[in-house]
Amino acid sequence: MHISEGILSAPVLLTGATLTVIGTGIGLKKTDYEKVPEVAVLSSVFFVASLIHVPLGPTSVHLILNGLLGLLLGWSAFPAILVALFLQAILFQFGGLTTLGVNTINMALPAVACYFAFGKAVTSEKNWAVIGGAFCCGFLSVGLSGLLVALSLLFTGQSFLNVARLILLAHLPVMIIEGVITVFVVKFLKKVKPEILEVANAAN
Amino acid sequence: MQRTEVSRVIKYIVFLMGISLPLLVNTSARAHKVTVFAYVEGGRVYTESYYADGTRCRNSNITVYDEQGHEVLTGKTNEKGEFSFTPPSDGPLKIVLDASPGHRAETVVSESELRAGEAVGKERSTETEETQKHATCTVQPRTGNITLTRKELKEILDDTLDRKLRPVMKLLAENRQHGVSARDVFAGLGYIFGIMGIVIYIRDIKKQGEEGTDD
Repeated sequence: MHISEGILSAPVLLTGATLTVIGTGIGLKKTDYEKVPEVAVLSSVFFVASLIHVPLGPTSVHLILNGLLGLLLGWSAFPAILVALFLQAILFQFGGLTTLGVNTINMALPAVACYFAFGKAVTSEKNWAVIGGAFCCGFLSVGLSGLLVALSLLFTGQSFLNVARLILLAHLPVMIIEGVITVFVVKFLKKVKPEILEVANAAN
Repeated sequence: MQRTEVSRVIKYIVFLMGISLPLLVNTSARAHKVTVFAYVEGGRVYTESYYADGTRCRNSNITVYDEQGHEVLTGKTNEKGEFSFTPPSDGPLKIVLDASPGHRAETVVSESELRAGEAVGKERSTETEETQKHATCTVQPRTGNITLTRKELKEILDDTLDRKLRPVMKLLAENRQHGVSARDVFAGLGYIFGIMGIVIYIRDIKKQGEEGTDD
């Protein structure tokens, strides 16, 4: 999902960078100081998640976990993902510095969207709502990221439908795995520290 | 209140470190990045393409550009991620790999590499002719043994070395593309927590300053 350097045109890169600056600005404004350690920990989780390779499907894919970040951090997922992607770019050469903006928006926007869509469901008392919400959050955030990547590549002359189909097909195993991981993490947090999910909701 | 907040955060960190530890153990360089590696042998340029986890990039597009950035030729990698072509000119070539959406890597074959590779190629094509000549030499009972000129010896050595070094070059290429080491991972985590530390530190200074003005 990391778009490499030298593929996208300048307008796409600039749009991505601008949106990322706006998103990160909102994220930083909404981040309490009490939440800074949580943001850092989840940023590290995102940073290492991309090293977990999923040997299923037609191409080489890895975990993303942006849904989990969105659910627990809300808007703060923006700075968390930006820092993690920056370090992945300089240390692992995944993506690149010029594509940092585009890659951040591609990963962080679905995270925030899923937070708004499923944040409430996860704090509900009903078990099915929690499980369904958490799964959809993990599943759809990866799917939405795939669509955004396809959209970014739209202007490079590749057909949107083809690229989107390719990415979604390749990431289907990851989407399912991330849905399941998110369910487990949310269930676990609800049992041991339910206020983490509530606090995440109240803060935004 | 402050205490419970802090202990909550600490417990949370410990819990999340717990989940991320198994991820850390599995740092066997697996992720999304592509690498293309090219070498010249016998007048042909051979390329091999990999994902960062060592999977070959099958059926991916390779585009070759010349020095001026003009497209020279294009092709697709085979099942083993390989693609080879005969360079049309002696000039340096830029080989660009475009694997599944959004993955791109490039490598440059320099003029000297091309020349060296081509020389070997020419040598090899004349090789059969040469050996033929020597064969006829040995038939003559007068000399009895094969004499090689310095140039011929060099050619044979070059050729053999080229062939013997090929697996080593491949190995080097494979090693080079395993870019992620445990050190990089820990470095990244260190940076993240370093940033966290700085943010909290600045906040503490501000807080102390505010308390100072209150007094």
